[in-house]
Amino acid sequence: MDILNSNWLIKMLEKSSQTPDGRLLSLFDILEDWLEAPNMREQIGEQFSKPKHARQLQDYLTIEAAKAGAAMPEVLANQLYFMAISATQERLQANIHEASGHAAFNHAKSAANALIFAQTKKEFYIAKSSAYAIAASFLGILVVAGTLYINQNMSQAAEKKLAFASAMPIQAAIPQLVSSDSMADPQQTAALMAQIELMRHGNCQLIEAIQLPDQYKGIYLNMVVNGQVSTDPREQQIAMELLKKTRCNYTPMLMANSTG
Amino acid sequence: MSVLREKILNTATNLFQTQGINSTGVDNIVAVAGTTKMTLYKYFHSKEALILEVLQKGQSDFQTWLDEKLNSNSKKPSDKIQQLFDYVEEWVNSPEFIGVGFIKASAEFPNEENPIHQLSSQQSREFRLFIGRLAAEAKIKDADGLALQLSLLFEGAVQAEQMKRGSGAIKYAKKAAKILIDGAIKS
Repeated sequence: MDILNSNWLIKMLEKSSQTPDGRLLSLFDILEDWLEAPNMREQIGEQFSKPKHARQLQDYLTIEAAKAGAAMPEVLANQLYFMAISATQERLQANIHEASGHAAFNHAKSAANALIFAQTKKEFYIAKSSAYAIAASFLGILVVAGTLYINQNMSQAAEKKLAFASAMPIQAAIPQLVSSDSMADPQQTAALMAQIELMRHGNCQLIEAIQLPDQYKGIYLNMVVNGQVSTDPREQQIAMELLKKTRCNYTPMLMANSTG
Repeated sequence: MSVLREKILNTATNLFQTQGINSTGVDNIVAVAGTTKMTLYKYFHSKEALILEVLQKGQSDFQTWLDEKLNSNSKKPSDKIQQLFDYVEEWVNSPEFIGVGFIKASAEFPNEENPIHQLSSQQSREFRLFIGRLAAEAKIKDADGLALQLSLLFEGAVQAEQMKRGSGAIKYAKKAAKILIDGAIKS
């Protein structure tokens, strides 16, 4: 079977996972399993040693890469496609002396995972850093305007400023970090985890995820709601800011009832 | 090396990468190089010998350039592996970059008995062993495993780059490599 050009492969990919990243990574698992089928190796022929372009597969991977939020979906799809072919060649040629060849698919999957991460997580914030800067300068203007206003009418100005503060974009509250590649400080990670854990014990009014800007939705749902804390410092900082906006009542239930 | 010989070699390198090895005839090479078939065969016995030499020269030029960069800029043993993709990116993004010979050759000559196929897979293996040595110098436990991961990233990015010049594939491969290397150093 010409697996790279088969509908079977697309169908298998489609049902392999709930998430686009998962479906992209499944390419490696499906090829590995397929290769292990009895007598498969005799039937493979030249499809991996002389790979042609598999339009349908590459298009499918491009769509999934876009769904996963890749900065350049087609490029990611092509890279993954070629890596899958190389891993297959590697596995086919693996001899008893090279342990890494036997684990070719595992290694390819690790590399693919890192590549998906590189295209979907980090790049985003670099692209958005100009937006932070714009939001921050906008906030600056608001503050100046607010201060001028205070001079004219104190009480009215105070009210206005409050209104400004609540309408303040979350972007502006999040400082711009210089490096996007560094791992978060373990202590900060621990603090964030503790904060999220603490939240589980309180009666919290969670932010409606749907009202958040797209770029925060995923971070909020993953970290705050699901409690899966990533080690990306930027994401952690965003999660911290989002946590601050979550109002919690830590009064034990009974006491809360007795006072009310 | 004779000037004419070098000119034939350079012309062949360019034509092989830009229009394919199989689809570049000897006539084509001599026409572009401004020489004759007789001269070409004086220096290279056959087209196959010419292809083998193109591959060898391409890889050794790259490796020499890379070694020089790595040796002059690294202080700690772990520096080299961490800088590897910076230089690979620099090389891929340079205007002179036209592709990686062994990647192209192995796809065009799939027959394992063919000397061109054998040389290209040997070069691919040697490059991976080179990465493995850098990983071992950096005291990374599974140096072979990391070397395989990085060479898959490298080859995948170069192939994507050959499909679409300036695609940025190598930039993401570099980021991914950094994630993998950082992870391997910590474990």
